[in-house]
Order: sequence, then C-alpha cells, then structure tokens
Amino acid sequence: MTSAPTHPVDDRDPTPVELANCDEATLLGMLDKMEQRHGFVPREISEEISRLVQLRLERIERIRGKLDSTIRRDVQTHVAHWSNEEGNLIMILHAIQNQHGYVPREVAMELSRELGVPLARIYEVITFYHYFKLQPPAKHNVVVCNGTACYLKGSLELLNELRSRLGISEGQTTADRHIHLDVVRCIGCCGMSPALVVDGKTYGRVKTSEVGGILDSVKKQEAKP
Amino acid sequence: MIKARINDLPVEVPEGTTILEAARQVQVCIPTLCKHKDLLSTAACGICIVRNKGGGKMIRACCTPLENDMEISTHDRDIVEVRRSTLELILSNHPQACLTCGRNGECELQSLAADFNIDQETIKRYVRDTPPDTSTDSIVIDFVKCIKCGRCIQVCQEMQNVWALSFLERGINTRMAPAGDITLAESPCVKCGQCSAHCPTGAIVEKDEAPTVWQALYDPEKICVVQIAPSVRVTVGEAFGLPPGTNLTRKLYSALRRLGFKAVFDTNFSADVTIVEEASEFIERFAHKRGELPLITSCCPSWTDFMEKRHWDFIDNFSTAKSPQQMLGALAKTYYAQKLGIDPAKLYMVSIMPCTAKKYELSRTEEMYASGFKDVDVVLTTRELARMLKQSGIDFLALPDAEPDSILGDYTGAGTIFGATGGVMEAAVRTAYFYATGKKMEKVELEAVRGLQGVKEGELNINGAKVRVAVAHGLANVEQVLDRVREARKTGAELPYHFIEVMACPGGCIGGGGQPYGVDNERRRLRAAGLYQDDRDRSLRCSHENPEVVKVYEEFLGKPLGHKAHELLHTRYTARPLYKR
Amino acid sequence: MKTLTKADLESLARQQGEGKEWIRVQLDTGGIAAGAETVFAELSRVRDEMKLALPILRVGSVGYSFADPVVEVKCAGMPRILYGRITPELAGRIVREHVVNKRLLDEYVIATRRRSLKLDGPVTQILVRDTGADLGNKTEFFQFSLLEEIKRRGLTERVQVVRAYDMGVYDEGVAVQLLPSGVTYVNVLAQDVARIVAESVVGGRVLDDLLWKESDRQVRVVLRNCGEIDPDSLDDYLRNAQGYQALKRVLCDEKPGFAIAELKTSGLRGRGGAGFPTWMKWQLTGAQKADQRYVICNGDEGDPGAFMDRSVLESDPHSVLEGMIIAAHAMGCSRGYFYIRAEYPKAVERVERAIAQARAAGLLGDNILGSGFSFDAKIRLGAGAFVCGEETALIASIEGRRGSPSPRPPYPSVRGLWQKPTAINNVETLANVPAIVLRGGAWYAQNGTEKSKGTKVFAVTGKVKNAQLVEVPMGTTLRQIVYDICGGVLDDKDIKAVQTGGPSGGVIPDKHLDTPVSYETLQQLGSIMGSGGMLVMDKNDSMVEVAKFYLRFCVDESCGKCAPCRIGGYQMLQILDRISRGRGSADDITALRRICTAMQKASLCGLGQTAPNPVLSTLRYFEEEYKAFIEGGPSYARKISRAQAGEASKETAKAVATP
Repeated sequence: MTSAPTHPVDDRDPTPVELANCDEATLLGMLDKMEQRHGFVPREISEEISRLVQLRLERIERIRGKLDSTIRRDVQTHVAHWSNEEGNLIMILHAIQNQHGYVPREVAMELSRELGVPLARIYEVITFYHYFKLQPPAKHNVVVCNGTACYLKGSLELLNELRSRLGISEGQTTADRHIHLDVVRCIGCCGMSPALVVDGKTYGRVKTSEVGGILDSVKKQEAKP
Repeated sequence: MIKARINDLPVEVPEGTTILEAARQVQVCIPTLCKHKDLLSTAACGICIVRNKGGGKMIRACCTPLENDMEISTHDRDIVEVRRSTLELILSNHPQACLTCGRNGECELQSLAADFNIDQETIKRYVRDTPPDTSTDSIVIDFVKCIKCGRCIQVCQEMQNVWALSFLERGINTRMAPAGDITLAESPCVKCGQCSAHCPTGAIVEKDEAPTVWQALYDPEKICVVQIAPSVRVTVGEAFGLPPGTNLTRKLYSALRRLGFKAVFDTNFSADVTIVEEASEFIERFAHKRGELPLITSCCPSWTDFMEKRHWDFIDNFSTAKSPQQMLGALAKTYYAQKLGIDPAKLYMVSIMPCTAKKYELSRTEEMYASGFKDVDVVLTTRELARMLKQSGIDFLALPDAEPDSILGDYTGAGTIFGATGGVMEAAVRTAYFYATGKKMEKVELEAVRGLQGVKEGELNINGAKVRVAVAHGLANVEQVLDRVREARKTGAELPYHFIEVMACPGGCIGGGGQPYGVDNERRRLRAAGLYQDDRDRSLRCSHENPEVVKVYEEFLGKPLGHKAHELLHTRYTARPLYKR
Repeated sequence: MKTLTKADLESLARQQGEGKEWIRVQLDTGGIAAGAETVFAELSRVRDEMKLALPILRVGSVGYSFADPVVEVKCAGMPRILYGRITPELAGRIVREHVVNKRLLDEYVIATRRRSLKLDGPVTQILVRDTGADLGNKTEFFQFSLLEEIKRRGLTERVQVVRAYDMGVYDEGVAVQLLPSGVTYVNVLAQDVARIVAESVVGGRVLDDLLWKESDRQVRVVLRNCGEIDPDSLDDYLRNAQGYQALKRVLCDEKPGFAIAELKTSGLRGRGGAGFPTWMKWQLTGAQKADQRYVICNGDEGDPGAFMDRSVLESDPHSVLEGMIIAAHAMGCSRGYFYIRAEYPKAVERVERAIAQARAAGLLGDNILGSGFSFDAKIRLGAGAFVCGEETALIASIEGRRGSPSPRPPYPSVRGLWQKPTAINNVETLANVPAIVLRGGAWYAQNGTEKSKGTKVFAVTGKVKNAQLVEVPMGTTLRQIVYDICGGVLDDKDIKAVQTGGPSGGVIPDKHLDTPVSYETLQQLGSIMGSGGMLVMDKNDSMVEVAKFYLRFCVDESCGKCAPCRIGGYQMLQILDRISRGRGSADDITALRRICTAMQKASLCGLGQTAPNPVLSTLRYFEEEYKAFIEGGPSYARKISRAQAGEASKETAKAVATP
C-alpha cells in the first residue's frame, strides 16, 4: 500500500475523549474501521457511543422543548389578544405572518391546539388567501405590480426582465434564498405605473433598463452588514 | 305551505323545501353532481340550474327554496344547453379513464355524461397530475378524479367531525387534500370511509383487496375461511338489483363456499361472544362497582381510533372487549383450528365487512395477533365482495341456500342487530338484564335506541336500579354525549349515562363506508329493517342463549372475562397524536 | 380626549375655518410611494432651518395621482397653490421661494379645477401653459411676452408670471389663468398678450372672447375632504370639515327614520358595483327581527386599477366612520366591521386611528352623544382574495373561513354575519352618507340622471395623460371624463376604447364615448359601473390581450368552489392564450361564446357570472381582432406582441423623462 494512514487511530481503537469530539461522519468511519479490524464493534465502544448518542438526543430534546415552549408562548399571546373575538382566525394568522414572514407548520399546529380549530380549517384558510405563505420568505422581496394600469404600461416587460436576470419566475425564490419574485394585483399606485416594490419601497415609472440598477442596489444592501 | 308551478305542474310543499326536492314530487328529476341527500347543498357543480318565469338568470335548484308563485322551468332548451356545457367543462377537468376506474359503472359523473350522450371532447382536457394517496390500508384517494363537489369534505368535517379532509388552495388549483397537506395516514382520519361512500366519482375508493384474496384462494397451502358481518347480509343484494334490506344470509354462505372458502363463519356468532363479554363487563362495573362508568362500546374501529385521538380521557370507560371481527379471527385460529386439527398457520381468515376501517383494525395493536398469528388476514368490503361474486360467474341470486359452518356460525337475533345503530346496546342490555336478574326480559325490543336520530337515550330498570343508556351514531354526535359525562365528572353530579354505544357511521354498520353506493336515510331505514326482521325471525334472541357460544365457553374459554377470554378477546387502548406530522 | 357632547358639536359647527398659512403634503400610498415622506421631511427641515412658524400638515390625497407627490401651499395674501411631482430639492425651493419670497415656482403648479368667469380682485399671478397638441411648445414664449408686457407697465412687483405644469385645460391652445380669481383664457394668441395685461390685469375687466366658459365637470362629494384635512386628526375633521355634525343631527335633532328618508330622496345606490338602493338595504336589514345586527364597510377594493376606496380611507377615514355610525343607527346595529385589504396598510392604520379617536371622544361606544345609542366598530383584514368583495364571501372571511361565496337567498340582510341581519356598504357609499344627511337628499339628487343620482368617483388610468381620481355627476360622458378632465390620451394617440368595471366589466369602444355614464347605460353597452375603475386604451392596445389580462385575473381570483367558474375561466384562458399566440381556430370563438354563457348562467356568484364580460364585450365590438389573430397565425401574433413591447418601453422611457 502506498497511501499513508489517514488517521492516527488507524491501528488502535479510539478513546472515549476522541469519540466525544468527532462528528457523525468521522464516527461512522471509525465504526467501519473497527468492524473491519475486529469483525464487530467492541462493547465498550458501542456502549460509549450509545451513551454519547443519548446525551446528544437529550440536548436536542431540550432545544426542541425550548423552541416548542417559545412557539407555544408566542401563539398564546396572539390567541389571548384575540380571545374575545369571534372569527379571529384570520386576524391571528395576520399577526403570525407579520411576525415570521410566513406561517410555520409548528406554529399552525400550536394554533390549532390553542384555538381548538382543526388544522384542516387553518390550512384551508392559509392556502385560500394569497397573503398568507407557508414557505419562509426570502431575504428580499421583489414585487411587480400587475394592476391594469401597470399592465398596460409594460409591467410584463419588467417581469420578463426580472425573470431573465434572476433566473426564476414569479412566485419563486432564487436558489440562495436571497430574492423572491412575485406579482401582485395593483398596489394602488396607478398614477406611477409601471411600479415595482422592493422590500416595501415602491419604485414608480420604472423602465426595463432600470431593473438591473434596482437589483444591484438590493445586492449592495446585501454587502453591508 | 308554498304553492308554485314546476314545468307547468302545480306543486305544494312545506316552506323551506328546495326546488330540487319539490321537483321530485312532480316526477321531475333535476340532475346534480354535488348535492347528496345526506348533506347540505354545497352549490358546487352548477348542474342543477333552473329558471324562474323564464328569466335570464339561472338559479340553483339544490339550494334555492321554492317560493310562492314561482314558475320554475327545469329543462328548457337554454338550461339543457348550459347544463351540457357545464358538464363538458367538468369532464374537461377529469381524467376520463372510466374503464380503469374503481367506480366504473357506478359513477355519477359517468352516468350523467352517458345521459347527455357526450360523445366527443370539445374542450381540451386539463388534469393536474397528482399521485394518489395510498398511505392507509383502508382508503385510496385518487386526487385527479376529484370534481371538487365538496361532499367528502362536508362528510368528514360536519357529519363525522373528523377534519381529515379539506379543500386547499383556490381557483383551478383548488384541491381536496388531507388536513394540512399531509398524507391521509398522518392525518386525523379514522378510516370510516364515509367519504368514499359519498364520493360521486372514483376519487375516493376503498383499498381493493380482491387480488389478495384471489391469491389466497388459489394458494393450495392456505386454508381460506371467511366471516360475514351482520349488516352485509342485508346490503349486498343492492349490488345485484335487490331492494335494500333483503336478507341474503344463506345465499352468501353458499356463494362464499363456491368462491372456494373452506369454512364459512358468521360474525354474528362472535357478536354474541362480544355481548357475553361486554355485558359481563357492564355488570362488573355497574353492579359490582369495579371499573369506570359509563361503559362505552368499542366494536367500531373508527370510533376507537377517534377516541384514541380525540377523546382519550375516556380510555378507561372503553369496553376492552374486541370487536366481533377480531374475536372470530382469534377463535378460528385457536379453538377452531385445535378442534379440527388444522395448522393455524395455514388458516387464512377473510372477513366481509361493511367497513373500510376494519381493514385498519386488522393490525391496530399487538392484541390483534392474539392467536399467535394475524387473527384476521384480510378484509373485503361489501362492495369488493359483490365485484368478486360477479367476477366469479356465480349467479348469486339463484343460488340455493346453505348453512354456516358449525361451531363458529350459529347466531342469535342479538348478534344480527349489531349492524344497526343501537343494536349493540340492545343486545347487551338483553344479556346484562339476564345476568343481573337471572330472568329473561319480557320484551327484548328496546325501541328507544332504534331509529336514525343522531343521539338516542333510554332508561331501563334492572333489579330496581335505573340504567341510563345513550346511543350515538355519526361521529359528530359523539361530542354532546361525552360532554355531558365530562360536565358531570367535573361537577361531581350524577352520571347522565351508564352505558354508551357509539358507531362512527350514520345508521351504524348498515350505513358503513364500505357498503353499496347510494346510501341515504331511506336506505338506512330499509337496511336496518332487514336486520330487525332477521332478529324477529330467530328463535333465540339473546346472545348468552346461543348454544355454540355456550359451548365455546364450556370447551375452551372458561368464564366470561376469565383468563383465556382476556387473552384472546380483549384489547387495550392508548392515546394517539391527532396528527402524525 | 374628553368625551364630546352635543353642545361641543354645536359650538364646533359655528367655528369652522382653516388656518391662514400652511403647507400640506399629500401622504397617501401613492404619494408616499412617490417620495412624499422625504418631501415632508425636507420641508420641515428647511422650515426649521429658516426658523419659520409655518405649519406643515399631513393630509390625504386630492386624487391627482399623475402628479404625486403633491404639495399644497397657502400663504397670507396668496391663493392656494398645488404643486405636483415635488422632489426633496424642490421642497427646499418651495419654502425659500414661495413661502419666504412669495414667488411661485415655474413648471410645477397644478391648478386643475380653478374656474371663474369674474375677476374679483387684483391679479397677482398669471399661470401660462400651452395646452395644444402641436409639437412646438409655446409656453416659454408666452411667459416671456407676458412678462415683458407686465414689465412695460411697471407691474413686476405686483404680478408674477408662472409656467404651470397642468391647468386642467386641454387642447385649447395657449391657456392663461389669472390668479387669485381663476379667470382663464384659452387659445390665446401672441397679439392677445397686450390686451390681457391692459384689460384684465390693469383694468380688471374680463375679455369675453378669450374666456374659457367650460364649467368644472367635477363635483366633489365623496372626495370633499380628501387633501383638505389631516386624516389622522379628529380635531381637523371636527373643525374644518363639519365632522360628526351629520351624526349629531341624526342622533340628537331628528326623528328616527330620518337618515333612511333622506337617503331615499337622495337616490343613492350602492357604489360597490351592483347599484342596489342604499336606503332599501338599510330598511330591509333594520326590519329583520334579531337581537343583533351588523353593518360592514366593504373596503376590499380588489379591482386592479381602482383605488378610490383606498384613497378615501386614507384621506378621510372619519367621514366613512361617521357614515357607518349613521348607518348603524338607522338599522339598529350595535357592531360594525371595516373589512379592508391587508395590502392597504396605510388605510388600515388610518382607519384604526380614526376608530380609536372616535372611541376616545365618545363617538363610538355606549350612549353616543347622550342619545342612548351604542355602537362600536372594528377592523378585519382581508388577505388577498378579490372574491371577498362578494358579500357572502366577505362574511365568510370575517368569520374566519375560506372566502367562498354561498348561495343567496338567504341574503345577508336577512341572514348574514354570524347568521344575523347584516348590511354591507361600500366605502364610497358610506362616505356619501354624512354629506347627504347634513345637506339633504334633495341636494344630493340635484346631480345625476333619473335613475342614477349623485356623483361617482372613477379611477382613470391606462393610456391617459393624467391618471387620477375624478368625481363627476352621474350622466357625465366618458369623453368628458377622459378628455376634459384627464387631458385625453397619452401622446395624443387615438382612443380605442374605455374599459369600465374592472374584471367584471367590459370595453366600450370609441363610438360610444358620448354615452352618459350611469348604471343603466353601461349595462346596455355590455359593461358595468363596477367600483369605478376606468381604463383608457389607445389604438395600439390589443383587445385580445386586454380580455386575456382581465380573464387571467378572474381565473386567479376564482374561489374554485363552483365548476363553471373554476374550470370555465381556466379553459377560456387557454383558448384566449391559443388565439393570442396565433394558434387559434374559428371553432375557438364558438367555444369561447359557449363557455361564456355557461359561466354567466351557471356560476354561483357575481365573480363567475361577470368574469366573461371582458371577453364577451371585446368579442362584441372587436371580433375582427380575434379573427385577425386566427387568420394571421403565429407570425401575426409575434408582430403584434413585438409592437406592444416596443410601445410599452418607449412610453415608460418617456414618462420618466418628463418631470
């Protein structure tokens, strides 16, 4: 064999300290090696690994518990705020969407429990109204207004330009989750058509030639911490 | 009363009657694809349009009440033209794979298309490709065949209060989907199959096990035996054109033998066993104060699933007695096998059930393997059986009568009424009364718990003690019964009921999710009447009198609730998460 | 704020009037998007820097969307001046030049609606603008000539000559307006300059031969306070807009039934589109036996291209609220809901504030103004579903369900929100109510046609010179709206058609432009009034594309509940798409018509029933365009689409180039 040993523990079994300090992939590699060497994984090692796995599981459980209770508290606050109102589901969903930028599944589940409304009903509502999203938002939101006035003044050209520059179509997010492209029905700025909204800022009377500059300014914000 | 004219015919109907219903009174059938007699109108399909006084506006007959002086026309040229266009639109959004569809020949959309003689596609077809949901052992949802009539959703949400199905998205993308866009198995679904019984097309069907059964029947290594559920005998005839409620028990025995089953058992027999166990349990709890009251029946697997997911605070109230299907399976692979000297490993138990949830019950918990084998191997619904009979070339209706195989075949009137709502309660009361008093009831009929009212209550006197019973069917009716108990528990008040029967499907098993299509209250009534007739026709009408039941205890089980009985005939329940994801 | 009493309102009624000096910045969504907040900040900064005491006020929009951001200036001794398209740099100039030096800025003044036939005071400013369609712009030449003449007569100190941005006069040659009176001369020629100065400026006489006698086409009832008051200030509404006087009248001064009677006289019909008489709706709802009734303000304005409801909610929320309280009182409702699109955050914020202010002042809550009447209002947000403009869908949405319409009957007035009688009124309808109650139904009914009374707000957009909100009496013709008020078609192209009623409406070709606008006439032409969107299209716009645009909107917004709308719309869109790519066939037009009929007749709600209108009306008037696509094939389709793309980019470039 010409290749040098790649790992110091190649000819001996790892110590508990070594075990505790390596990641999953290395651990799996070690186990393979030991299996090759002994034909089985020595009991001390397997017990040590079980113990470590158990510890990690508990840690993850604690983290999850923490997250769960945060979500629960959060949802409880929203529910409490609207508790005396009939038909409060949509208003609570608005509050959740404002907070997270979308309606995470765990939150919807928690809301279902807190409110006593079946998850089916919550999803019926979320997917019916375009305002509510089930996917986390991208860092930046580029929205093309496709109201009648904008349409007539070339919003489709803007959209095509954005599509080709970003390599995605409307309703999609770039692979790096930086930019989400969307089309809306009239933002009410018909006097300034065609209009774009980038992260809440409206650009009016936009030319196709300006689209690149607008995207660059988004990227520039990105460069700043 | 409202007086109006429909197609120039005078009609008089009570206020609130829809045009659709009123029209039937004058022999006018207005077609619809979404309105079902069991359900409120969803006004979804747009097929039932009619006109008033020849006005330009077309109104929906399914949800518009007839008003005084209306002059309704239902089939003029314009209406039929629009109706045809709408139907063509619906068809343009449907795969039209009729010949390879589970509903072929029984599909409401297909038959309407046939009536309109739609012989070509004038509108280009658009069907969004979506894989079917095959996650459960009970029900298959083929989303592409859905016409979004909303029946299944109304059934699931309102009639059953299960909320496993819902509409998602909107517009052309609207789709029926399990709650929160997960698989059906991960959803709160209790597999009652009412969705499939109400679906107008082949979008929701039972999981077809006929191929599995054929395979077993052809297998020389297997000894196939079969059991038939109480309600199947009065419904299977519908698939052969007979009126609902026609009792075909003996023809079924004969047909099943011809199919190749080596022994034909009757679930009515094990229903009698169930009653012996359950009535004993009741006496134990009621008279001897050992265990929680009210006692709640557990032979409906959808109900037990529902309870485990939604009402697990009642776990201790549940009768631990298994359902008749599972009892028979366990007894067949132990008692019967021993007695006949058959290797139970070779026994293959098929059960014919009115129910899609029974397919799930087979492997519900480890107790379903009490015999050491899978107690029941496979479940066929009534609909699957009917198809198998037709496939096999058996002239079902002309068959000579036959008797069931002994030792697990004889039954009493109490066993047979299991198939109708209130039947289990009635049967249990007959036996419990005898156990408590040592006397036979003078009148075995318990009229208070019969019929189709959602919740039925009754009271009877056993040894001077008042026993209050409640019967609920259709899962949406459960809540009010349980809430009364919860309320009493909380306040420490006297229990409102001592014994509660719940069946998931409206009408009980005769309205089961696996029964022949076209169920409505009229059919449920006729089917139940068939069972009650069977009850009256039996010489023995109390479960404990069944000589074969007596024998099985003497020879094999020992005492009711005894050790052996417990091992084979009882089960356990655990709280389960409503959503698996 | 302390609780208002009847006496408070009575004394407020006597002291109406606005401040002497101010700058108003119009901060509605459109204005803010165009940078009005920065303009506001810059104005304040420069004012503070120069240590002026001048109040700078936030107001709503007067409706001149084309000129956003709009700033209005009032200085002692000078007329009120509106400036359009103001940048932060110009904001500084406004303070320094206009406020301090009392000199108007060239090129930004908009004076759209000032009209007068008399000179009622010495001329202090002269606005000049070449309104002609000719390419040569003579504005500067005339400013120079006028200035020379003024100089010659030694009036330079007293009279300023200013180039205006827009004077609301179109295609009338050179227009000259004398301020503060507003006397306007049109088709002014070079030789008239001396005359104008001599006769009018010096002599104070009106030159009848040049006088522009067209009266103002606009009558502002709904928009009466828009741009005039601070939408965030109850005090402003009370002091400067006779705020809550109508409510006081209804609650304290008149017999029950007064409001409904006045509304009946006024002939006001629902402004949401259907045009159901408002008084009848109120009476029906009020007549139901119920322990609870609801009133809902429908602010789910979803027509692409219509923004009047947003503008009213943002500019004058208290008027709508006052209208709602009056409605509630007339019907005996104790609860009200504003259902507003979540896409209108500014409107939501302002209505929310208005409700809080009214509650603090005792105008909402128990025993309002000591009358024994109690009522409270709340906001519910829409969530991006156009179909929720439909009454039963809106109710479902407020109840927290999918916004799918349900069959009617029962009508909401019988069984609505939470099964209780419910009246749903559009924003514009409610904004009319206080004015009608205060000034009387007969006053309101002076305007309009026999069956369509009063005024209507339209949002005019598309290929029009000045996209804006206009409020005109019913019966005004389309031509008057497009040409006299909005300045005609962009680039002076020929008009092809006007689309009214949004996605539920239809196109009206140029040959019908002289039709007076009313519920009935529009319907006869195959369109509808709708909520008041008006889209102007020029000769280059493809009608097939326009139909496709609206239909796509309806397909996206269909709730999906009923088959004719869900599938019909989609299939029509496929056919239109095929046609517009030049791949259609003659059969496609037959199929389109057939599906249209099925949708119209068999759909459950208004959305589905009216969704085919854009297709049907373009087929009715422009079938040859469809045929051209079918006969011309793909190459023709590519040619059309290239022409449109070129057109669009050229226009946008131009729009940006002009200030």
